[in-house]
Amino acid sequence: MNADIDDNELVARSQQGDHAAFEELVTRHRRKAFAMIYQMVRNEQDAWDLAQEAFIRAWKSLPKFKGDASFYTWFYRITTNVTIDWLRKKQIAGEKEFDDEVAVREADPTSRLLPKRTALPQEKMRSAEIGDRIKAAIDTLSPEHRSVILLKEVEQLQYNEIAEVMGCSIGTVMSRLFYARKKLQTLLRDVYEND
Amino acid sequence: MKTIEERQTTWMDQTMPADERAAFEAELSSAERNYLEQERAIVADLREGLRHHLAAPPLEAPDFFNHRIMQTIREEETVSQPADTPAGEASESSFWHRLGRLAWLGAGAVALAVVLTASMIPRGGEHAPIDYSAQVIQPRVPADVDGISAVAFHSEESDLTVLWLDGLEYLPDTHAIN
Repeated sequence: MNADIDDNELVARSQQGDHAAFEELVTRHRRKAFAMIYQMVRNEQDAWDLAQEAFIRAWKSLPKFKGDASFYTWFYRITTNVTIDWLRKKQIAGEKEFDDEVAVREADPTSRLLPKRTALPQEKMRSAEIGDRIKAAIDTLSPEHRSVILLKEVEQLQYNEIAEVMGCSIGTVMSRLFYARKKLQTLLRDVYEND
Repeated sequence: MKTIEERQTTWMDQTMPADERAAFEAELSSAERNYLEQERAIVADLREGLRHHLAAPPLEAPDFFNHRIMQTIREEETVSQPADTPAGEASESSFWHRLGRLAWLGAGAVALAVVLTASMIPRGGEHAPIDYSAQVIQPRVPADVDGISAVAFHSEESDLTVLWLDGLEYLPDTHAIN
């Protein structure tokens, strides 16, 4: 299909039942959808399956898409919801515990205004060890906090785009981002300390 | 009014408007300012670490990925729109439809039969209201006579007594009902 056709045109055709148009949307957004989901669930097969589910749900929801948001953010919202639902089910099944209380206890804004730590000594640590620590720290975040920090730091979305994707206010996005960063800093505290 | 979380986040991300940033920084002591500067540097390092270590692998089998999605969509559309399906698929789906309907009809017939049977069969222990109070008078049947029984029913209200004799073809003249 012609790469010059924009997403809105493809969406309009898809809403008329044009499978080829929808498949072009899949081709354009599959890589990013897979990457975003992978960063959340950290398993290739699960990410593959969830990306499939996100696109199928998007197809079924096309009649509800009014074009007031870009297809990109609308679809990313579906992707985020699919992923968070899946993570929550895993939590209910007892496979994972998320504790955002660490962030709340540790991140009292009024008590953290004095410098207490030194610069990150990445030059003194193997990259793989740092990666493992970062991944483990990310895994402790709740789905909502994990999603907001990945959308901001990795996907580089703006606050308003993140709010649209997550279906919350910009203030909520900033609050979650603040506490997610604080929690990661707390969990990776020893990575920052000198030997 | 913005919360402290919002102010610190936008300041760290350097997205705070200039006038707002000036006012925010004016509130900070030098120690607090140094602390936040270090926090900003740590967040920047964390951001680099996240981007580097959480990079997703390539999507495996992208053509098959597309194929599975479109196949699922076509299958679901076929299920939801049986009138538009080819003849072979339609006859198979209508067979199961008929079978299901037949099962429901059968279940309904069985249920009706149970209800009718239950309503018609007299239940043991339950007695329909009787007009006569049963007062069994001990029958005096000669010992040498077999197959004869006598039961008497008497109703005070109706002033009526019914003697039920079973096994007698006639009442001998030599015997009287007392």
